[in-house]
Amino acid sequence: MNDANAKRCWYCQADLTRQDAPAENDSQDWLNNLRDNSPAPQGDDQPEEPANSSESPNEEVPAWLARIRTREQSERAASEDALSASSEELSSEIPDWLNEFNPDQEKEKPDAILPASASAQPENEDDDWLKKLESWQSEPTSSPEKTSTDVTVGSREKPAEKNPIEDEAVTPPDSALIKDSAPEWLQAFVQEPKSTPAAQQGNLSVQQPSTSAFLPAERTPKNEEDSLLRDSEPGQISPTAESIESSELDTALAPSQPGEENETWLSSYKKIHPDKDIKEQVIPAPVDQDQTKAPFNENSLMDWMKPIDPVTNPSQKEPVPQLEPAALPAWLQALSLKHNGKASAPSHSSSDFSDFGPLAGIEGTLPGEELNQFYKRPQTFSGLLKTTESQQVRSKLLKNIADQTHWEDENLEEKPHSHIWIFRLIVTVLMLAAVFIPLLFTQISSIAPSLYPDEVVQTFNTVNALSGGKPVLIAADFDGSLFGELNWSYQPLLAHLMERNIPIAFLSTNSEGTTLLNQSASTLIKQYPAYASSDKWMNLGYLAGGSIGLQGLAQNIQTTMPLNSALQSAWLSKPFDTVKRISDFGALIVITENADTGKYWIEQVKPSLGTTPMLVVISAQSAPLLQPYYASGQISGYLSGLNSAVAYEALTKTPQNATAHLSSFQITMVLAIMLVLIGGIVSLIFYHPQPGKKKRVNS
Amino acid sequence: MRSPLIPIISFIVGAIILAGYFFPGSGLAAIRTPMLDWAVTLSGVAGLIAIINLVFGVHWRRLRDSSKDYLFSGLVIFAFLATFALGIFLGPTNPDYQKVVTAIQMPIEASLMAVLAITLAFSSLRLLQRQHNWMGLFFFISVIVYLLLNSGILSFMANIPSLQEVVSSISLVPIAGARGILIGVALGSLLTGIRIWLGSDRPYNG
Repeated sequence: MNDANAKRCWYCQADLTRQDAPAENDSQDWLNNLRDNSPAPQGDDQPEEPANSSESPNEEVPAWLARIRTREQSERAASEDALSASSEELSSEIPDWLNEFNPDQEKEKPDAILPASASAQPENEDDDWLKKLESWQSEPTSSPEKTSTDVTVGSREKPAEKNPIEDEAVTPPDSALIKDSAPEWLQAFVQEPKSTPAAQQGNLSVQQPSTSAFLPAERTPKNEEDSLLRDSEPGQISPTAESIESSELDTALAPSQPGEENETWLSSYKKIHPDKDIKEQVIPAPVDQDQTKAPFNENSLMDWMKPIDPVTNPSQKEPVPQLEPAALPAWLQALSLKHNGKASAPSHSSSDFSDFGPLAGIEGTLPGEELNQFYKRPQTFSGLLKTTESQQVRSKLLKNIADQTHWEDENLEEKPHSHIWIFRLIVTVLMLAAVFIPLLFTQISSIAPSLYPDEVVQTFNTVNALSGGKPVLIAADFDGSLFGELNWSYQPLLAHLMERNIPIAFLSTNSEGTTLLNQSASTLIKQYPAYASSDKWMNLGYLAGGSIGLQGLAQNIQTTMPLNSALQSAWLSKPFDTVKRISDFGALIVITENADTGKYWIEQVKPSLGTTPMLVVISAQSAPLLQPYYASGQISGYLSGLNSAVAYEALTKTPQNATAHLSSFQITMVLAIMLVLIGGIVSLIFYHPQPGKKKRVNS
Repeated sequence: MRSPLIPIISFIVGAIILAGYFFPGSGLAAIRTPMLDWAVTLSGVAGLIAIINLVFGVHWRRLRDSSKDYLFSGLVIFAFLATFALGIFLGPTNPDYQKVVTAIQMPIEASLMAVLAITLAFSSLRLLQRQHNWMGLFFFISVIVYLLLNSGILSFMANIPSLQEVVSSISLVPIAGARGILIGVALGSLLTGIRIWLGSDRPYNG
C-alpha cells in the first residue's frame, strides 16, 4: 500500500492521483508487508467486509491471503470512483461499430469497466486467488496519467490484469524518477525497456518487457522468493501475450480517435465501379502467399492472436508485422536447465532459437540439450576380481578339493632306491622259473583235481547229449590278451565236439576272435581227420553291433549273418541248411574273457534259444560273475580257467595242453602265494609308522 | 535351448524297441528290425569315422607338426595303411593275412598280460605296507585263501568231508559278491537307460 502522501506508486512508479503526495521511497519489498504478521498500519486498509462475498463464511482462508484480499478491497474502493468515471466516459465515446467489432469484447465490456471488486460476481469466483492478487497489484494502472488508449485497454481487460510495467514503458519520461525511487530489483526493470529497440519503435515490442529485468543480478534468498512470487502471477509470467493483446487492441481502437474513425477504417473498402469487371474489383490480386498467408486460420484463433489488419491501424502503414517469436512463460523458462533457475525474457539472440526440430524458430523454447551429456560411456570395471575374505577361504577350500592330492610318503617313494630293482629282478626271475622249469622238466608232477566242479560236469553232459546232426554255434568273443588261457580252456570242449563229429559254426563280435579261434581249431582239427574232411566247420565272420547285433542274431540269424567268411551263402549247404533260427542249433557256446560279454549273450540271445542249451567258456577272473547265471539255470554249464579245462580233459580222458601245463600253473600259483605271504609278514614285522608323515597334502 | 526334435526321436525309438521286448508277437518287430539294422550300420560307420580321426586327425597332425614321438605316429599310419591294403587285396580269411592278428596282435596283448602278472606279483609284496589296518589284513588273508583254492593244490582235501564243506562254503562267497555286483550293474544300466529314454541324459548330443 502506497503511502498517503506518495506521489508515485512505489510498486510501478506511476504517478498517483495526488501529485503533492511524496513518493514513498521505502525500499522494502511490498511482499514483506504481506509476510508481516503485524497488523495493517493504515486504518483504511482494514477490511470493510469480512472477505470476498463470493466466498462462504466458513471457508478457511489463510491469514495472509485474507490480508491480501482485504487490502485489495480497500485499494479498489479508493480508486473505484475515479476509474469508473473515466472508464464510463471513455466507453461512452466508443462508437457502436467498435462494440460490434468483437462480440466477446462487448460481453466483457461491463466487466472490464467494473472495478476489481466486481470479482465477487459468480463468473469471477473461479479465478485464482493469484489473479486477485495480480489485480490488486495492477491498481496503479488506473492512475489519471493514463492515456486514452491505456484506459481503453483497461476497459477491455480487467484493471487488475493490467501490467504496470506496460504503463511504465509507455511513459518513458518517468523512468528516471522511477529509477531513483524504485527498489533495486525494479531499477533493472526501468533500464531494460530503453535498451529494447522495439520499444523505440512503439510497436508491439514496446510493451514487451524483458523478463530478465525482473530478476535481480544476484539471487539472494529474499529475491528468489520475490521472483518466485512474481513468476507465479499470470499477468507477469506472460508479458508477451499481454503486451501483444494490448497492442493489438490499441491498434484496433486507434480509429476511435475523433475525426479519423470514418476515413480510416473505411479506406479499406473500395468503391465498385459498375463499368469495370466486378471480378477484378472484388477478387483481390494474387499476392505472394508466403508473405501474406497467416500461419493459422483466423477463425480458429483467439482474438488476440488474429493478425492485425493494417487498414484498421492508421498509425501503422507498414504491412502486417510478423508475430514475435513465441516465448515460454518465465516460470517455465526458469525450469529450463539452460537457464539454471533464472528466468530470462525472450530475446532476439540467435542462441535462444532452435535451429532444428519442430520448435525451430520459436524463441525461448526449452533449449535442446546436447544429448551427449546424458549419455555417458559405460562404466568399465577393473579386471581385478575383488573378493572378500570369506570368498577367498571358500575358493581355497574348493581348490583343495579339486586339486589332485597325493600322500606325502609318495614323494619319498619316488626317490630312487637302490634295492628296489633287486627285488623286482628277483621276483621276475622266480616267476619265469616257476613257469618254465615245470615245462622243461616233465617229471615234475602236478596235483590233479580229485573232484570235478559241477559246472564242468554239466558242460560235459550237455555236449554228450547233443545229437550228431545238429550244428553248434560258437561265439568267439575274446581278444589276444587272454587267448593263452582261453585256448587251453576251450580246447578240450572243442575237441570233444569234433570227436563227436558235431558241425560247428562260429562267429565273433570281436574283430580278432574268429581269427584266433580259427587258428586254434585248425591246429586241433588235424587230430581228427574225419572231421577235417567234411564241411562241418564254418566261419561266419564278424558280427557287428555289439548287443544290438546279438538281438538281431537272436531274432533272425539268416538275415543277420547271411554269408560266411568266404562270402558264400551260409545257410544253404549242409549241414547248416537245417538252421532257420537260432534255436535250431544244438547248443550255443560262448567263449569270452569278459563277464559283460557273457552277460550280453545270456540276456539277448538266451531267451530266443528256448530249450537249446547254452554253455560258456570264460577266464578264471570272470568266473565268479558268471556263476550266478549258472546257479539260476540260465546257462547249462561253463568252463573257467585251466582247472576246469583239466577237469574236462579228465572227464573226456583225453589229456591235452591243459594237463600238460598244470604243473607250471600250480607252481606259479604257489610262488605268488609265497610272495604275498612273505611280503605281508615282513610288512607286519618291520612296519614302523611315522606319526604325521602320512597326511594329505595338496600338490 | 536345444531342439527337442532329437530327444523326441530318441524317446519314440526307445519306446518302440522296449515295447518290442515286452510284446514280441506284435507288429512292432517289423519296425524294430529295420531300426536295429540301421543301428548296426551306423555303428560301423561310426567305427570307420573313429579310425579316420585317429589316423588322420591325430597321428597325421603329429607327423606334420613334427611333434614329440612323431616317428611313432608315422609307424601307426604306415601299419594302418599296410593292413588296410592287405585286407582289401587278400581278404580277411586269407591265412597269410590272419597272421597279422596271430603273429603281431595276439603276442603283443599276451605280453602285456604277462607283464601285468609280474607287476601284481611284485606288488603283493607290499600289500600290507600300504593298508596297515584291519581291512588290509582281511584282504591279505582273502588273497591267500583264494589263490590256494584256485591253484588246485587243495584237491587232496576233497577226501576230508569237513574240509570239503568248508571249501565249498568259501567258494560260495565270490558268488554272493558277484550277485551284488551284477544287481548293482543292472540297476545302474536300467537307470541309465531310462534317463536316456526320457531325455535326461543326451549322449547323442555330443
